[in-house]
Amino acid sequence: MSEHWFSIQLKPVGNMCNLRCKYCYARPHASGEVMSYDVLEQVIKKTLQQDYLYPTFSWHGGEPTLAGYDFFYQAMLLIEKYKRPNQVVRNLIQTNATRITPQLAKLFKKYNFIVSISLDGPEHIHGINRITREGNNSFSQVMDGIKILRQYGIEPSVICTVSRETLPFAAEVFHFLISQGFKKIKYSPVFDSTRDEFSITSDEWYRYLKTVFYEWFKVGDATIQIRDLNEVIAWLLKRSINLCSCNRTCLHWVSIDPKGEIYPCEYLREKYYYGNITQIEELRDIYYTSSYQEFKKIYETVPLKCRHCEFFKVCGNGCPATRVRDGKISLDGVYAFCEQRRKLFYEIEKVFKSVIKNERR
Amino acid sequence: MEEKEIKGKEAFVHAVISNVKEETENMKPDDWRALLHNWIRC
Repeated sequence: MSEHWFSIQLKPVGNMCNLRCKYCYARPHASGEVMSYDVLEQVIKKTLQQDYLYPTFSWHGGEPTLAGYDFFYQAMLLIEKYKRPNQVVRNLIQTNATRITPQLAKLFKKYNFIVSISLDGPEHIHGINRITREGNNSFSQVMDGIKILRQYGIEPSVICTVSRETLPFAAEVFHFLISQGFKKIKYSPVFDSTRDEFSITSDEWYRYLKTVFYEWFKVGDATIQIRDLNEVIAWLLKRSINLCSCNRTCLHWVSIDPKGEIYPCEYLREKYYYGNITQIEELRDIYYTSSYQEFKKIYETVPLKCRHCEFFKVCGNGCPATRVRDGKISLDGVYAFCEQRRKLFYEIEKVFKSVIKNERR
Repeated sequence: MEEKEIKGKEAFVHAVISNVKEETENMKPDDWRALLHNWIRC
């Protein structure tokens, strides 16, 4: 059996969501259907049939908990049914936490779900964008959900989205998150287009993360892990962490929607369609589709700027869906946050070197 | 950075480097860091 892992982004309700976050890329598609039991069984069966030791189901949305307790319970039974000997199956869920019930939390705990919640900061910052259908701040519902998760022994990680309006609050958000006991934090810049009213630029993103870095440094707690800083710190070791945006490939990930349609990921679904899970014999069949082969070529095309870049081996020109050419999103462009990554690297390197130099005195 | 600001941060810096080193060396199946990716933006 292969040592490699394979990850399925499973979207049981597609982009359906109970919130109406202002910056959400999926807003126009905020309604949809729940994946049927038959499709769910096909997804789980065909994923676990593969020769991978660590298959991962990454439950996404929209808001995946809208599928309900019974859906997840059935999914866990199907995993038990189709899991091969020695296979270690992991489940991750990205949730807005507003629909977490004790029953669901208990199930997630039982099956060792890694739970990541979406929280943008304290109430007045979170509520700038993350609102309910009625237009109310979803903060208290999120915090209630987190409380339930913790009651059942689940310590969630957090994804904090940063938009143009929340840019000034880097320090406040960071201190709020750590005051709430979060140890695993990932920031996510809004990037829908270069002209989007919510989107932030590479330089703004750099300055935001630089502030976070110095606040983290001042706190001096290494048990707090900040994904976006680790991404760059790994470069100091001439390594790359396992993010689809710096692996030089995201071919080990696929996304499956409620109908069973397979795509590389949400952001590339319009361009690349691998087929339907119900119509293929094995999941590996997608590797032979013209669409998959075409997508593979994206990674063979290296822009001139990257060819001479010392970071290319560890950066890989970032996420293909977040590349820009001539001011427009383009798969053959350069990673939109290229300069942010470089500047942040030199900033952290400078600080770390001075600390180590100081130690040797 | 001024010297007073970096004083006492040696252990922190080494711990951070050690964490990242461990993450990039051992991709354990139950390690959230090895699995979480940035598909989702919100």
